[in-house]
Amino acid sequence: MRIGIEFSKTGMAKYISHLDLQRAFSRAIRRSNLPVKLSQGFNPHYVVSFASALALGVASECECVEMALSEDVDTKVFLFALSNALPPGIEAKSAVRLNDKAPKLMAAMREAEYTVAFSDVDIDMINAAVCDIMGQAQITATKKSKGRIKEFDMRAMIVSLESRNDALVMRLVAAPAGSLKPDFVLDEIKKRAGEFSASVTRTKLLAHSGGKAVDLLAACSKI
Amino acid sequence: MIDIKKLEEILPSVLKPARYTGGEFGEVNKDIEQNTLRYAMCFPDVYEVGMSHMGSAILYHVVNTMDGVFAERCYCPWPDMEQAMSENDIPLYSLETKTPLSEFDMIGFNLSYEMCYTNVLAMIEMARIPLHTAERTDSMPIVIAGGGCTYNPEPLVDFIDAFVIGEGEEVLPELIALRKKHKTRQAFLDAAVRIEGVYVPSMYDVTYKDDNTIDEIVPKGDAPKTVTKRIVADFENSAFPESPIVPYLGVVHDRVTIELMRGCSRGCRFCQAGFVYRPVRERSVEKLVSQAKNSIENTGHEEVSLCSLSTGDYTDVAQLVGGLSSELTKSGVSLAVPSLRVDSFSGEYAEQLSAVRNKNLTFAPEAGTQRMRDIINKNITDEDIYEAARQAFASGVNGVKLYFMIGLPEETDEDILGIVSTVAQIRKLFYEVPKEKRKGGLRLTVSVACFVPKPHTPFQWAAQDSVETFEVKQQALRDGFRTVKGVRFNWHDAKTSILEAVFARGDRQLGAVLETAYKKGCRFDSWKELFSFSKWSEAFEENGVDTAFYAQRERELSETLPWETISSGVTKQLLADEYEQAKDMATTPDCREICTSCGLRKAGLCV
Repeated sequence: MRIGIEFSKTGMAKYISHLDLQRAFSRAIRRSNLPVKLSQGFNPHYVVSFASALALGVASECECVEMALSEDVDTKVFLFALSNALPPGIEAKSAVRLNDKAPKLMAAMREAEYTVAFSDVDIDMINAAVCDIMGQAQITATKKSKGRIKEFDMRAMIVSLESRNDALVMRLVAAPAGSLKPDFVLDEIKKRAGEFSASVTRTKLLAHSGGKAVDLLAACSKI
Repeated sequence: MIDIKKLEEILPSVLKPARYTGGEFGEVNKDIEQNTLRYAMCFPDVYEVGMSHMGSAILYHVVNTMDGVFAERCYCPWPDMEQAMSENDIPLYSLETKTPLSEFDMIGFNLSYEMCYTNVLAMIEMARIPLHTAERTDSMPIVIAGGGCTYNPEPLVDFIDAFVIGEGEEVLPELIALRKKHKTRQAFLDAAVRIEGVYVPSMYDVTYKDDNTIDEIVPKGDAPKTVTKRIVADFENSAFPESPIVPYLGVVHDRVTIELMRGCSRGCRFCQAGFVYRPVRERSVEKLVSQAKNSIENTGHEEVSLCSLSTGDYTDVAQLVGGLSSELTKSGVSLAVPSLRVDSFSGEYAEQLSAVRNKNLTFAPEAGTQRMRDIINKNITDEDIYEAARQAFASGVNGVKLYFMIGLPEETDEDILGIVSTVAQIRKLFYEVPKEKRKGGLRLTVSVACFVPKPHTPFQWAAQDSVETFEVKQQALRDGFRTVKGVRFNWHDAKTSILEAVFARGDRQLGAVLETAYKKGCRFDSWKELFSFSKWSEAFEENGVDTAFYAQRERELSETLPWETISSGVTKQLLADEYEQAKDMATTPDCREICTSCGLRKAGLCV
């Protein structure tokens, strides 16, 4: 059986790195005694895979992880046992049975939505910057990859930027072929609107279905 | 509480922010009431090191089981965080509730190694508590310290109000209860000296002779002439944390640790732990297997390790390893076994270890010749070493780590080169195992430490080598290992070892040096990348203190030593006799075979 879990990572837990989060999950599984499959080999580990790594310092309401189980477990029972075993700040929100034929969550991922709350800035300045960014045909940015500095067009990876009640909602590409971290967009806004501080929360993980963005877990659980 | 918004602003910019957030699984939180006594447990090193310290985990558990008492943790911020906190006006705070340390009733430091002392000073000032005990007022926390280094607390007496001597499980709850009764500093300290195992340095006057050695140590008020360590008598049933905190960060020892035994009966003459942690006390196999099982269930860790001074000397070691491995393999949990003595490494034990897939072994022959091992009373022979290696290799081990020391008393060139020939012989034994039985190539690592004479050992009077002498010997080893293929040779920095020796046997005059070095920016002196010998040299020079007086001087047996007030229960006479024996190359047997009348029994500490 394949099970998909949606969990939040909030408060101080947003400073937990992806590697540390993976370790925290395997320990929570061992504590919970749930029948998650162990891999074969010399150093057995639980068969667990996360949909998408979250940048350090970004909170999330919607992280997803899938696990392979050695026997069927009721999703409510699973959710309850896992919730009790997870550390504070990491909260399991829902559990769904995944379709065996559906691709891995990681492979189905296409977009991520982030909600940004600002402080110490005039929101009109942000809106103006956002308009300008969306009006560009191309924005060249650089990132380090395998020790080399690589140029890429980050504008192509911004799906949408939208102001909602003084917050900014960003939809960015997050796919196996490449993802855009929210910091790149915030840096572009800063270039235009000056320095500010912001807290970023990931609010949706999305797959594509019939040309439309849809909830990732729902997409992979449909029979 | 500190300003969390400010903290959140700096966290994204520092290395490993999870060092500073708390909130791990298993963290204790309590309601704080008007009369809750708040205790901050400080470990003067970075989070990953402090969270690996078994003693701190035990004390966190012990103190938090007390009613009306709440113990929280605090580690030394890495220099990037220290700077960010200072720039943003954030004081040192506890991980559990983010409370500034200055608001606690009592803060306690663990002193496990001398090279953490500058961090202690840094943490006191970051907590905005005056550095000197004399400048603290009644509204401020009492600052105490415990751990191995308190067997000579003298270099720190300017900064620490009271020291706990011996095992903290016994003394700390009593001190905390006393703090609840006494709100003023002086009343607390006056009463604290009446608790056994508590040393209040301000209650002693020390005078010096013209040659800078100590003339007299005079106690004041109710302070006892000697403070004798406290120990846990019923070790089998003493407190053990079966639900320790599970860190997010990969810490140094990221696993369940069970403590098999305390103390060691071997009596190696260089080893401070061997003398000060006596007597030997063991936990039963049933108790340990149950503690390991419960700890795995509670934490979800993937590995269990055995902790003691000499695991191979545990009476039922084969049953224990057998019992643990059958319990653990069921859940895919592995077993790690450190600290082996070569002569305690039997065939059956070797096989069981291999069953729990251990491909590495660590041995500490300590010296390269029989003569030298007799001097230090490391009661093993060349044949013991080679037989252990043969058995290990035959059982599939292909990674060996060997530990040696240089600069031991009476050492000659032949003893140094003996290290090389011992290693070469071990290498040869690996290739004597038939090829089809060997698992991969041999990984042979040799670590050579510089000997540091420690207080409360038979070598407490001995001179340490100079930096130059150590470096000549290290060069000889490097040259020697060129002739032995495939050896990874590591050596300890001589300068760090000299500094360690100065503070290990230092007196009250070193407080000023420590403070100067701290003010010059010395921090994390046990971290190679942050250690600055030049800053330390300036600090010694500016205070007119000569390191050779503390490190390279052989003391007269009649000299009053700085740590004379502190007793480990072992008499000075026994240590002096052992020093004589060493010079005669005479060995002393394991004290579980023949009692050496070390003084513990007389002090009521051993049966």
